[in-house]
Amino acid sequence: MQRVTWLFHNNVPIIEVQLTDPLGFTFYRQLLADTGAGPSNSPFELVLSEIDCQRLSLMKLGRVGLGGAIPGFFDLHAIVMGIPALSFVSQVRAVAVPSIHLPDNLQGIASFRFLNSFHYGNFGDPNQFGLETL
Amino acid sequence: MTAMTEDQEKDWQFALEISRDTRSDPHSPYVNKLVGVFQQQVIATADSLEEMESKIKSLGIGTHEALVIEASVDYERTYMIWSLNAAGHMAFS
Repeated sequence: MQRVTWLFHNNVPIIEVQLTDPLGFTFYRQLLADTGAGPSNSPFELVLSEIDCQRLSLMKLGRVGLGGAIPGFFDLHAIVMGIPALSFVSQVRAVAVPSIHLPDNLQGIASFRFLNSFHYGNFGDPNQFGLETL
Repeated sequence: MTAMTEDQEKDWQFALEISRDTRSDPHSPYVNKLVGVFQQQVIATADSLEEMESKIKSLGIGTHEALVIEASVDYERTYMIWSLNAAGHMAFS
């Protein structure tokens, strides 16, 4: 099993991910690790800005209705996402929302569906959040 | 949300119909499958997004022309986002 941990960002748990656009350019994003973002059977794994999704989109996956902190209907896209420390790279489902809806000073949200595909938690250190491969 | 063209909207309604049928029929061939739709026809099924992308490309269809759904997922319900903002407060609309 491989594990990676990140210090909290302004006291909230985050993960850092590598995103790859269709031309192969990569860049990094810090996402809120949010087990309250959708259930395990939701049609998305990440919530990203519309701008990022337009740049990264490989396929269209329809649209979804969100409620709570981000109300409205939004497009879904397949994008390539990786976490190098876990040797993880895969296409995942991202919902594209206006950036005004994203958490302060972060570039998106990792949903419960995504987090739940790993062991997740503080692994004994109350100042960090981490993922471990199942 | 970007507006769908008339053809895309028809494909989306067709895809929703597949999702409804699949969720109500445990014997559907689309259970737990990704389904690719183009011009109101199923053009491919796959177990992963990577496999679906490859199949759509092999058909000579642009990957943004087709529409891909997870047939067993409900796209017609509202998914709640109970997110924290950076100050650690719950963000409600």
